[in-house]
Amino acid sequence: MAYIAHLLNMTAIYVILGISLNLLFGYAELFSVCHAIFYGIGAYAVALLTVKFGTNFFLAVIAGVVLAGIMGAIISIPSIRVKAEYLMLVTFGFQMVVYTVFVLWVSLTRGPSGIPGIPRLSFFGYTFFSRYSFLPFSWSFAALCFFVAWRVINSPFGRVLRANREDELATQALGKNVRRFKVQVFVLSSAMAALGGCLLAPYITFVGPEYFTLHTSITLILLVILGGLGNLWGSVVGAVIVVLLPEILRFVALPAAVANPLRMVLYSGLLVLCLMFRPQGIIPERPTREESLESSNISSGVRE
Amino acid sequence: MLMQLILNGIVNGCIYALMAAGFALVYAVTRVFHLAHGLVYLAAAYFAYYLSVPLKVNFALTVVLTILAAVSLGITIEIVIYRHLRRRSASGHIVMITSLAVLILGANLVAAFAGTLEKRFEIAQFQETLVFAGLTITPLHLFDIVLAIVTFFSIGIFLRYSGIGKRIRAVANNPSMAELVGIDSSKVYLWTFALSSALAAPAGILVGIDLGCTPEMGMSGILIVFVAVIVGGVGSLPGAAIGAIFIGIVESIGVWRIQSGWAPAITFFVLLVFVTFRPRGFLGRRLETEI
Repeated sequence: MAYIAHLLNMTAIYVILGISLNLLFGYAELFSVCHAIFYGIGAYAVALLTVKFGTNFFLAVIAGVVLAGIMGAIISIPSIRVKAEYLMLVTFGFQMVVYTVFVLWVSLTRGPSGIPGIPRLSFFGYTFFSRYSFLPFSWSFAALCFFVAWRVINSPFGRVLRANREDELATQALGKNVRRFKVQVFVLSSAMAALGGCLLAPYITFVGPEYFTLHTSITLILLVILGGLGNLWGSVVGAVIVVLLPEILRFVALPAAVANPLRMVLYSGLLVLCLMFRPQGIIPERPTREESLESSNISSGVRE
Repeated sequence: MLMQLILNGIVNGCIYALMAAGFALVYAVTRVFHLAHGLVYLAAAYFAYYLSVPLKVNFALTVVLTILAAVSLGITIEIVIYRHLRRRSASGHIVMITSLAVLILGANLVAAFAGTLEKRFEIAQFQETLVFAGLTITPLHLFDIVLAIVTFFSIGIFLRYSGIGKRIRAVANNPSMAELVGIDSSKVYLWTFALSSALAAPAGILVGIDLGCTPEMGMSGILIVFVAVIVGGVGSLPGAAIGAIFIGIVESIGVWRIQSGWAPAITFFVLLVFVTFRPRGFLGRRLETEI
């Protein structure tokens, strides 16, 4: 049973990661392959600050989130200015490089050994010691992120993003500084991903580079695309799938050296199939009110 | 010392250039960043390894068979993946992510079956070092440089004077006009992928001999290649070569002072600088800047 609680906690974290990536992929059409890095920045920030300096958890979270936001801005500002494909290449490079930093900058991150002994969460004197007690905590954060994303999407800001998705030139013609919106979304998305990492650190009480590889980023991309771009519930579904899939694979007893790559084969294979045959995902985006009115007009035979 | 570093950089750059040329060619013709090219490179290296070491096939035959295998893989990827996505009018980003996913899929398949330990195969005559003008170089590295020069020269002639070369250039220049004058673009695409993969194969073999094969080489290789192409100028083959040699030299000088594991960081830094200040690269045409 405790194991199921663990899966639920990880699902909550992946919901946060999925929602943040969906903001980028689904609403802003910004394709980033380095999402695991922002996740990692949040986790490492909390790990380092609480272990080495004994900082209060919530302050460490703020530090992690802000740092991730800044890194997000640094990456996105030059790339968004140029062709959109360049963002993907720059984020690919960023992913590879920062992973190298996590592994090689041993004096800061302890390299592959990681940072153990992260203090568990405690406030008001209560320590969240077990998997069960962490559940309400992780899911409240997931719900918070869901709510924030929902508000952003349905705000004027979100409408500009969706307008830009439909017709970039028209949006610009209306006087919207599209580039600035894109960078802002990127920063928000990175910050939210870091929040997911900040939850990971006190939960597992260990942080290591192996959680933040290119494979993790690809897994997150699978999450949002399979779940459904442009639909927040799709990201929840995607998170559940991505957390449960490896559990199903456990029934096939294979040594880890073979099982891990095969898991990535399965994920990337699913991603390829999804992109080729059902790019809208399991829960596609709901059409806007205008679009559904339009289609119902057509179907009721109104002539233009 | 500096000259030696530059020479080493040029040697590495020549290998990167072979791979970058294929990548640039595919981009020029299809406007797609063929990230799965890294998989063709990786597969060629492992294929050559398995032919040379367990099967002990003669080297020349290994090279020929590896090139054929690489070409088959490249063409298969085009037919199964890209052609399908083109029919569905998939956007450039979707194609790129699919390409990356294919690379990851292949690299992990290799890791699952071949393990993650490096596999190196050695060719006896390539071992001794030569020294001239105070610079050290191995025959293998010399061969790299010569091969790169000969290859680029041949591609240049092929693209300029052969029938299929002209058709490739036509499609690269203006796909719709090319269709209008009766060029079968799907055949041209096949030829493009064939040529590109044929270029990746020697790069993979050379790296396999020099440094060994690991599953990660697909990802790290493609990172260097697309930075080289951007630095040199997207859509330009000589640009890809220049970019590749530039990166080779910068990397070589850069890791002199710091651990070699940081080489990707240097490459990425170069990428960031170019994207920020000169996105068109050395030889590229002015890009339509995104809004």
